[in-house]
Amino acid sequence: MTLLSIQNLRVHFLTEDGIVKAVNDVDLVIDEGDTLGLIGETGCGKTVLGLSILRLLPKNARIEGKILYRGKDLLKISEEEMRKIRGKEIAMIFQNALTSLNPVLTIGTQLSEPFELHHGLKKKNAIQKVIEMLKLVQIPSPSERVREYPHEFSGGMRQRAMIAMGLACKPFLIIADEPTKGLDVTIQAQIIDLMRELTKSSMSSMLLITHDLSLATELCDNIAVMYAGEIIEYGSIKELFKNPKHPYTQGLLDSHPSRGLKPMHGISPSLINLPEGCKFHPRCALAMKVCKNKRPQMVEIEKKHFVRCFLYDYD
Amino acid sequence: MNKIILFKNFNEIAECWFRQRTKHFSKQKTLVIGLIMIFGLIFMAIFAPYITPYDPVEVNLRNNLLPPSWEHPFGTDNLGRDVFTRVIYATRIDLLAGFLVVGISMTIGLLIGIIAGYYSGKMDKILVGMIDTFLALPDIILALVIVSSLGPGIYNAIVSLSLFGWVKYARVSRSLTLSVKEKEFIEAIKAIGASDFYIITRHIVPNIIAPILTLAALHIGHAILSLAALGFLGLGVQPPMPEWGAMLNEGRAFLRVGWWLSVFPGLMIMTTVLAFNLLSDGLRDIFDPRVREEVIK
Repeated sequence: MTLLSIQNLRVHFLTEDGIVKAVNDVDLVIDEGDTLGLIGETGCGKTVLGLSILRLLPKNARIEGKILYRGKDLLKISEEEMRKIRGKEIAMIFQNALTSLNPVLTIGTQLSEPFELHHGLKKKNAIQKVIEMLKLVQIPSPSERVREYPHEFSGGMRQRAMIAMGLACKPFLIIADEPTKGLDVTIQAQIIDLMRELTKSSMSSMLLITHDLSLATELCDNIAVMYAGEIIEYGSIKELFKNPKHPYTQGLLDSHPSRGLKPMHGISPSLINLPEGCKFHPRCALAMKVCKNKRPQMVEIEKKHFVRCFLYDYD
Repeated sequence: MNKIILFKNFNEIAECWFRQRTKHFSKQKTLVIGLIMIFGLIFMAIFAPYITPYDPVEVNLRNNLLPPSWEHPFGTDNLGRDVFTRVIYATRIDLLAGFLVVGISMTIGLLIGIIAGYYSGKMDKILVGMIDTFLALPDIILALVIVSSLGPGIYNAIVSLSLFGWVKYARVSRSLTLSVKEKEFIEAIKAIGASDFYIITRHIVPNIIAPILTLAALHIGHAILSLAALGFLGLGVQPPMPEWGAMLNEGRAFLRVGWWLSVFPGLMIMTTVLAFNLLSDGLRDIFDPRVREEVIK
């Protein structure tokens, strides 16, 4: 069943330098129990997409389109209703665990907040729940650790604490924004294992935002590749890695160390000044005349494998 | 050989440790001394009737203008009242009024400052305009005008001083709120469904309270000084209640024959203001991470 469906989402920011077109006509579907990976370079609008689902964008953002969560348009409901969904039904795990925890409050105080806000628990009872959560994310001696401050935690433990906070109310959808950023490889592996276990056991869906391809292969069922605010390719994880169609996806995979570490030419375009036609054509080795003028449409080339490129658009 | 090196190292470590502790203390000294002085003052205020056998307001004309002696350590005034007793009883009024002024100002200032900083936009512009207007006004002179129009008295003095005292808190808390609300953890807390009120009370206030408290400690000294100034001008506490500023004024006429009438209340004002300034300095050393680093080094 469809849990979240994003339709024609467009997010633009009005800034002094011009309009930043961070997300352009994005369509995405997340089914219940599914994990969707959103991969792309830094600054292609991945995080903005994640934040727009929770309506946490700054005031200068202009949002169009629909974000349907269980049939409800999240962009239309009141702030009050939205607050009840945040943390309880849709939770977010932020990328920078150190700056995403309040430095002056203890871990216990902060992690008990979801319980206090959504279940109306008193601090004393909430702390018990927090200790259980910390046990679940495998933090040693949790009953002592709850009294410590974020700076007394190591990087991996902080990230575990963030995950515990995100999963506290057993949300239906978890938006994980680069949960392994800044962690070393062994800790990354532990975090990945932990997240896989937790999402499987709680049957939650997840939107995993990352630029780390190996993380995506470990966790995701489907992958959406994002470039300059657009989804350019979408497919199941096996299909996409075996048979990448879009030149950008191919380049992205080839730049991975396991596939020969071949870097892509050029840099990703500024979101203020996007190229006409296909956004990728200035960097594309296979660019044709039509790519410069016309925006390609999503084409289903195989079952559940979509690509936005004129190479496969025969009409 | 190994042992010697170990021992030498141990010595160095011990020395280092010792130096750290002592340095730490030497920097904290201001705080400790300030706190001791303030506790002394509060003790005096609370136990005033047990410290001195005399009554602060009872007139005893036979004993007027006695110089300091064992019986009357600070002498007596023109109406024969023991100056020491009056100075001690005045501590009650001055400290309480100082705390009240700071409490009221801090509450109003924090409220306005946080609202202005948190809800930027129109609200912020209006409140900042208000803050700037108040900052442009000469506070003590306007306090004078207000007290004289409301009528002299301790409550009016407290009200008029608070009316201008909140501005500093508003200014500081607004700028602190502006920087804190952009932090990622505020976004993270929003993402778990917290309301604005929850964010402000549970996350913003604890993050900005340290500098505000430093400011408050400094402000108490300042407020007591202003109260004394109003008292000196006859606009604060009314006779026969003892208050340091008013006592200074009463002693002014007898300066040639009885220096003790003005000198001791003056010294008390100085001591009190000094105590709170030391406290404020010490608090700043603790709260300011840059200074704290130096302390630890």
